[in-house]
Amino acid sequence: MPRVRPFNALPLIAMAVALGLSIVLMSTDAEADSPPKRIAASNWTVAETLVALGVTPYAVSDIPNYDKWVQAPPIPDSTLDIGLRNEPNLELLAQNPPDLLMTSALFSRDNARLERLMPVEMIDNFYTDQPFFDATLAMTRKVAELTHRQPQAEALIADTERVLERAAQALKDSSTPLYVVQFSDAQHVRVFGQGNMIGTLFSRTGLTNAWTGPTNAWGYASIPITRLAERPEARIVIIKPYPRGVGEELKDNQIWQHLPSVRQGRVSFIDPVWPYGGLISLQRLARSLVDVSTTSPAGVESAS
Amino acid sequence: MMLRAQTPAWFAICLALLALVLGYATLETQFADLSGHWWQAIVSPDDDQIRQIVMHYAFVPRLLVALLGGASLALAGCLMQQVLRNPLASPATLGVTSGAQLALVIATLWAPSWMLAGREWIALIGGIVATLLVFALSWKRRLAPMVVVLSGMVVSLYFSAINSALLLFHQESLSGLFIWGSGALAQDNWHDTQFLLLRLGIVMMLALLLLRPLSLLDLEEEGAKSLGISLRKLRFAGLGLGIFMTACVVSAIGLIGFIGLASPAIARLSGARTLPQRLFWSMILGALLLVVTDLAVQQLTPFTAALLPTGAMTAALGAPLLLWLLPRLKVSGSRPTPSTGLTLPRQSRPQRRLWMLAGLTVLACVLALVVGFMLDGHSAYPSLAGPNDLTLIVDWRLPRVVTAAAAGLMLAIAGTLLQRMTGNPMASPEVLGISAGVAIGVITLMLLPLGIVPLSGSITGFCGAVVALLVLIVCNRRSGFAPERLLLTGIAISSLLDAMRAIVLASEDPRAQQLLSWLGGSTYYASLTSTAWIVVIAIVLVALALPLQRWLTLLPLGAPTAKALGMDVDRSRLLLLALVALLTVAATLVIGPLSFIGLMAPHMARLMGFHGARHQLIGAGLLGMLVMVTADWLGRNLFFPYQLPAGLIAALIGGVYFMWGLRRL
Repeated sequence: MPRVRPFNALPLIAMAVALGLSIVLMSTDAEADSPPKRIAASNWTVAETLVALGVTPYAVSDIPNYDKWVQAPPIPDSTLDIGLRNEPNLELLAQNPPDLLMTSALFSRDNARLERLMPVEMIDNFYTDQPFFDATLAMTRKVAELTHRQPQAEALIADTERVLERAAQALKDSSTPLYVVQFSDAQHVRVFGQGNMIGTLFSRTGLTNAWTGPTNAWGYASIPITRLAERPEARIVIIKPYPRGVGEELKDNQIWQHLPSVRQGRVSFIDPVWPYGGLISLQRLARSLVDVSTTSPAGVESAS
Repeated sequence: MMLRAQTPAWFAICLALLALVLGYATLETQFADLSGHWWQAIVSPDDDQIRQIVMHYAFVPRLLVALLGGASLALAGCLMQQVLRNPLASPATLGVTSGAQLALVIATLWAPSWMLAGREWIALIGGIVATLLVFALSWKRRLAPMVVVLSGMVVSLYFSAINSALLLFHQESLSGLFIWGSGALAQDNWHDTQFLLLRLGIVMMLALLLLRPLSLLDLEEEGAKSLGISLRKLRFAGLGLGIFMTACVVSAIGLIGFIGLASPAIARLSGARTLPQRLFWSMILGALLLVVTDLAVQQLTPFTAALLPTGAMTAALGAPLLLWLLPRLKVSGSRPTPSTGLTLPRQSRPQRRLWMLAGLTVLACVLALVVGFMLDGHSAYPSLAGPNDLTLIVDWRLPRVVTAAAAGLMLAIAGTLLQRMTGNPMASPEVLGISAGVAIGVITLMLLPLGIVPLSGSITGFCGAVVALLVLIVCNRRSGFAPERLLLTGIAISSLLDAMRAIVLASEDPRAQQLLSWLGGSTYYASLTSTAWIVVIAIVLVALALPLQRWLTLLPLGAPTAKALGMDVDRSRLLLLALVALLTVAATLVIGPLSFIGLMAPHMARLMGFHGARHQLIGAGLLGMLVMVTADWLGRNLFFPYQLPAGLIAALIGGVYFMWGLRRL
């Protein structure tokens, strides 16, 4: 009779310890039965979400460029690089196939072939019929479901909602329309509109987008900077980094120098952020836009 | 006296009227708010009025730059065509533009501080290097026209291959160069206008000085020589001027397709005969063509989310024009016969060399299967695969190796057929435009709205090839598929592909990278099934090609000789053309349109001493396989786990060998 109790308690204790360890260490080793342990992601947005949910991905595409364009959250050092996003290295994956490969809609041409190697899930927050924010929530939940991280996902979503609400609160009096742009060269910018996280932020807060023209499937338009004069009262928000040489060339660019926004000092710079990314990127962008719009118009920052 | 040549004037007046209408429409639609202040905005804009600033610093300089750029390119093209006595010569076909582009890409990536010193000088250096390379390659042949153009195309392909490889790895950092590379004419000050005006003025002065001796080139070479002209110096000077002009345009406003090739052709077609007439009308027409295109593009921009780059649009609009002009174009006849001089002493025992080549090919295939990177813990190291890795080899390496080999074989055979059939050393599936047709089909599918059925790429690709083939046949049937005409048709089709490629890249569509990889000739998507298909197709088509050696022996002797020997020249040409098309379609669908192999393998075979039709076919086929397999292996392993397309690497390996061989000629 007294023997029974320790026999019953042991697994419980072990489970508790394992659970505690897994939460503390945020390691991928959760309970033995369930979620796929080694996950490969060929899509930066999914990789970002995985790391945000506390999963250490087994492999991610093009990590050096991720560090440059997405930046946060950082990919753990132990994660394997599997090459370009559009062409994950199959020889490499085949040698020790992950338990799951999460691909993007862009790279879904031959999923059937990949299925022979490992389970493949196409997860993307573009190419859906939902608006960007809903699609991103769905993407996050899908990733969470596949990795058994639903509580972390709900926490992340709640966190994001809080950030958005705070942003909406902070921005409710802002009346200046914004152009959110990334420079392509000294004469052309990508200007962001509906259909990505910039569009989401504009619809969730009091901000107005100065760009109302057509956009492509990723929610931006490539335009010459002359068109930034169409709303003279707007503030121009530039997502860093500048392409090489642009900073110098802009000094000589008569159109840029004469843009009303530039002449009147309504130009701001924000840190690199992946505009097609997940909730972490969205939070970072929201904070950046709040910073930019609430600090007093402080003249043109020198950019280089 | 020039106005007496009625037809160019008539054409020019039409273009000028069109330009006026479009220009007025642009003013009315985009600067309506400045109505009545147009002149004031142009001359002395109000600093506080951004609309006037845009008019003064963007619209007007853009107009002038388009006029100057068009005229400059036409001048360059006209000079090059006169000097080389070849209607196919143009800044693009001589490698100048790709040299300039590569120099700028390299400077942007590794020496950004140089860019601040002036991108025009970097472009100029690139253009000069490309040209020096072309000159070096053709120097021993005394800059003979065909050799120069051949060298130019090789250098051009080589530089574009390096360029594409760099773009694949650095797409995000280089997006600005995509825009520049496609010739967006957007201006933001008057620097470019002044820059071009000064350069054009200088070059025109120098061209006027050279006018008389250059005109004498219209006589046959012997005649010119007997008048005491140093042909080499004259060519050097004329080409040098053309190159300098091109480099200036490229550095200022990017790559503008087609104008340099087409304007002189149109001028000559519509009745400009003497060199002064041709120069004058080419420049007028070039300027008007570019300005009309640019104004049309500006009319369209408010309606799209993508950039419509003018340089690429000229090529897109120009290609149909060139096709329409082709039946009216007088090439051939008195032009120097192309195949002269590209012969080497016969190899005494080609059989043994063939066996060696075959052995080498087999060895390369085996090594490509066995040697690779193996995962060990968290990193991969190069090592040999053992028997345990059989599934890895069969599933993931075999399809790529075999596909590369099959594609190389088919392209090499297609190139050999084409070169022997046309007696033209520049012929290749790429030059013929069939692979471009396939690519156009595939890109068209990409440009259509998203959410695509995965299979349909091959269907549209095939349709594209069929259309290209039909165009080839329709445009060339009356001339009996004369070589030069065929090549011109091919160039027109290819320029359409270049235009579409540039437009897609400039639109900054994230799918562009995928496109770039396919265009570079990647075996990534090869599967066991597709490989099986391609092998069967390759074997059938090659089996069809091998018995045709009698035709292939006779055709290079020229149509009259072949006819005299009892051959139905037209029918055999049509049949060979169909075979070439099939080979190209099959190869292009799996490996992309980069068919450098088709141009090079036959030459390499000849450099190795395989002269008989049969030996050349087999030798070229083996070489095609060898180079492609090696290239695929390098592409997979050089930057593991990052992969480069096999076609690119093949161009890089083959290019070096080819240039070395060319220099020996």
